[in-house]
Amino acid sequence: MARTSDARTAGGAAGRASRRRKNPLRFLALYLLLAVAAVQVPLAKLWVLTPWRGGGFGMFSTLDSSSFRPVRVYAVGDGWERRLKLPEDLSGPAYAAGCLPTDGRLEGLARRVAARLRPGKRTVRAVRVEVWKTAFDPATTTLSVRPWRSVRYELDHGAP
Amino acid sequence: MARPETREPWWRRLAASLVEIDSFDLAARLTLVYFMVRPLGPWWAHVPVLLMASCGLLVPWLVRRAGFWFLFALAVASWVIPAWSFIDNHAYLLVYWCLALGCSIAFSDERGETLATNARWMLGLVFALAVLWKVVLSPDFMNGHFFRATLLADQRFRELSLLAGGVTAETYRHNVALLRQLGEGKLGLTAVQLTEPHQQVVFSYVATWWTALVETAVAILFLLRRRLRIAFLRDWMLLFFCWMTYPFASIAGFGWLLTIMGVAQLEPERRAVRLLYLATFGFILIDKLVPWTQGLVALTR
Repeated sequence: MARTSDARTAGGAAGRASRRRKNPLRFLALYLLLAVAAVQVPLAKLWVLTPWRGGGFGMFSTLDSSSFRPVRVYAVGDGWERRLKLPEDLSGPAYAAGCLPTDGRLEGLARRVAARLRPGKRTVRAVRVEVWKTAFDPATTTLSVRPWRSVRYELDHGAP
Repeated sequence: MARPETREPWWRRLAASLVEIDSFDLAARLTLVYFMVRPLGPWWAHVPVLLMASCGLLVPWLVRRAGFWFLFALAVASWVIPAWSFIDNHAYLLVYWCLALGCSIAFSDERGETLATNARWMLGLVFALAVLWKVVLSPDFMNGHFFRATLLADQRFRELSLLAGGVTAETYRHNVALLRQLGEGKLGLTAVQLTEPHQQVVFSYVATWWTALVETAVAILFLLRRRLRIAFLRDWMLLFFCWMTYPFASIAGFGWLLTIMGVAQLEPERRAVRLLYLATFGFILIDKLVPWTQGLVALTR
């Protein structure tokens, strides 16, 4: 009886060990890597995410990186507009906006820029944020930029 | 009178000690070193990671606890998830790697073997995805435009451009000044014509094909079955990739992770290769701190 019990215990331990050896969770990290990459590819190909980011390992594969997506900010008034220098503390959000320039993210950046506007002679009606794209012409070795995405954030009563 | 014991030179004893450490323990300790030397995002991720890495180096048994690595994965993920769309890919890889260390302990009886399989597949998949983007999905890599424009405009590759592209310092400065004007966009400037020597054009195409071939080879070799005869080449190819890439590309974090995974998946009997992986880990560390490529440029001018 005792021997049977021992055998059962040994069998149970061996079974548990075998189950542990075959536990699919031991490769959880690999499944996660594949799942994230499977989402990143359509986000970058069909939406506005830069292929360099998002966990798909597309870095150094294309010029469509955040460094080649300059972000420009403008103060807009009645019949005029002026390009603003981006405050140092907004370089992070601007970089994020370049990587994934959704309307929400661009508007968020515009709102933060608007909050930092200092009173001036002219009334600012809106802040416009633009993300530009860079193209390379190999025949003439020319780098050119063109506006790509843009969001205009209206100030309620103008500033100042 | 007792004769003094014949003692081996220190470097031999050091090498002997390094090759005798269990593969899992070595990979785990290297990961802790990585956390110690690499600043990690915001304070809420950096502080716990630094404290845990210190504890892990002081109390070695901690590295064999699954929960320890899950905590690392959680801390790094707390940095990666909110920044998912603009954070570097190696931060993702770091989460996967910590998770792999934890899962190899928690869900397997053979932690070393399971970690080796995780590392081998992770390396293969990372390189396969890199190749997928470069060769299949990107419109401007295989035609050479990426490398041509990057060598002209990305200042991280300044030394490579000066050393291999045949660009003079004066031409480089001229191009940088033009790019600055383009960035400022004064007077509605939307295009600049840069100066590109013929040597740099040729080098760009060579670099394009070279990168595609080497990365494809690494991906295939790591995804091959371990028992195949040519499988041993995977380590040489990965080391070759590291030595060709990291002197010029300032992405040390990625290089360290690759070498740690290389160590983890290596068969224990291949001692010389293990030492090479460790030397590469050290080389990437030194390369980050010592501007030797700039010195090389100064010497060749």
